[in-house]
Amino acid sequence: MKRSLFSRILPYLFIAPTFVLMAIFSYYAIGKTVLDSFTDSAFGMKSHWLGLDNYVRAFHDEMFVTSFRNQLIITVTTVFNSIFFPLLAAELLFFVRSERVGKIVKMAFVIPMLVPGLVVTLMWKYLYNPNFGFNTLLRALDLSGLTRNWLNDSSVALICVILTGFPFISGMYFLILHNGLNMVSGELYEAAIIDGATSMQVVRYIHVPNLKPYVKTIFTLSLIGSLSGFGQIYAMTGGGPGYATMIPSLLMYKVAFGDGQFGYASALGMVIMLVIVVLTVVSRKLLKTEE
Amino acid sequence: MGKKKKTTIGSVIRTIILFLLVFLTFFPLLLMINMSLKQNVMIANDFFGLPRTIYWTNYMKAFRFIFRPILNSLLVCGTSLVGILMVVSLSGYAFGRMRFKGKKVLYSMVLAVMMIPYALTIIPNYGVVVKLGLLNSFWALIIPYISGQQIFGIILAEAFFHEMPGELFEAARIDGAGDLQQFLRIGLPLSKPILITVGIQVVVAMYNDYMWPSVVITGGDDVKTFCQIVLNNAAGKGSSDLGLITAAFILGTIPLLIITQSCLKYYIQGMMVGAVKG
Repeated sequence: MKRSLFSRILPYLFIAPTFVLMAIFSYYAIGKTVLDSFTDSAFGMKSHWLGLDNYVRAFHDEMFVTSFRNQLIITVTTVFNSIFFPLLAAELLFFVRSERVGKIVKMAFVIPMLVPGLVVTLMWKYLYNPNFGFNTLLRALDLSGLTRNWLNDSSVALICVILTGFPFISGMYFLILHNGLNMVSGELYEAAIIDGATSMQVVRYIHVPNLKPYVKTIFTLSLIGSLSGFGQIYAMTGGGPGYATMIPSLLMYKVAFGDGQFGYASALGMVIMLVIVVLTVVSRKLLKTEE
Repeated sequence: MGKKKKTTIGSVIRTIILFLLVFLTFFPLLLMINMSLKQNVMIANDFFGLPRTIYWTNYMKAFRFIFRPILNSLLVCGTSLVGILMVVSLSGYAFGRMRFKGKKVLYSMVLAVMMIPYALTIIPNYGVVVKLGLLNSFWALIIPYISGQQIFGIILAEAFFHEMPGELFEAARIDGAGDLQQFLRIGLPLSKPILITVGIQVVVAMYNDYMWPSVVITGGDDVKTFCQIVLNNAAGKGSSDLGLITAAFILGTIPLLIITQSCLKYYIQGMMVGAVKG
């Protein structure tokens, strides 16, 4: 069937706005960052070509290396928490027989999603306050010896940041898994029940294999999210005390907007992006071959 | 799951754990409500205790400084949302439903943007906003938001349109509907659930953002967004009255709850469709 010229260019017209926006705010950003990363570009100054100096500096920058170690710890725990806890909640809900309770619980996990994340983060910050919060609880339990200035103590600050948001049930990830469980064909369950399968066996032999695509989705989303975001740590500790909770993207932000060193910050940004691309591609490959 | 089983110890334990998880999820929010109804002195002295007398003054005072920023946030989110839904439905439909040369490559160019770290875009985009003369105006937020937030929406919408039954479009084609009519008469009206899902997702993300506003909105408090004011307060600029601040938190949360509560049903459905593709 011959298609008119109009219907042949229509798809390109449909995607044009998307690509215009991406060209200005994404592709240009990458191009500019690549170029800047080879210069000493700074706020309001003429820049000079430096070659690879910024990159050499980055790999000798103790702060940057430390921040990657912190990021590794944060990312591994975040990805685990983003899968484990929503999955636990979805599985527990699956075996709840009352439909009304099921609906209420489902809503209960989704509603907190609508509370601004910053607000929740700051509530946790108050809980970690040296004068009240968890310390109030410890004093009441006669454990005053354990009280401390949680976010200002470099031996525990990173753990406190990681524990923020416990029990880590994100409404979106929970829904993805919950829907995943309900997509599994009902016949499978009936067969299992006739065979007298226990709930653990249902989980092991029906849920685990059927949930893989959903878990993969969450794995990728939480991996990218954890590597890319830095707002929570910015609001909580600002990377401190010292560099105990510093992560690469926050360091980059501080180098750029605190010190005005756009060139060096761009080099840091390129290294971060390279790590994200490599990790995403590698993890997708690994997850694919598993099938 | 047809047969009813007897209540076992296992099911009791499971239910207890489930409700414990719900309680812990809500704990910071309950604490926030409790704090907002107490005087600041009482918060420091009796952190977890319930208020002896309800102290509404917090809300009166908070309303005065947080009303304008909330309005700003809603204005920015609303305007961006319209733009996002437009580009998302167009691109999602093109990638999910239409045939054209270079589709695969172009779509992977969209997906690749997901991997750009947020921090990396801040510096160059700041430069763009300055060059466009948008600094300290709401457009400095709106246009980059449309660009950044469309990606996830396109991925969800692509999956949604791709999985729509082809017969619907086939029937329209036989009736003589062109590609554009098929989109306007069939694709768009049926995509309501996925557009609502995308809408909630992006509005929450934009309402929540404080990094980008803190870079491009540096003028007076009357153009700042809700989360910006909240962050400034928490950073020690402004009041240190926790009762007042938590009351402001709650006032800022209420609009999102009201706006989205009628749409949550669709959000729950919509997440089902696009989830696997991501």
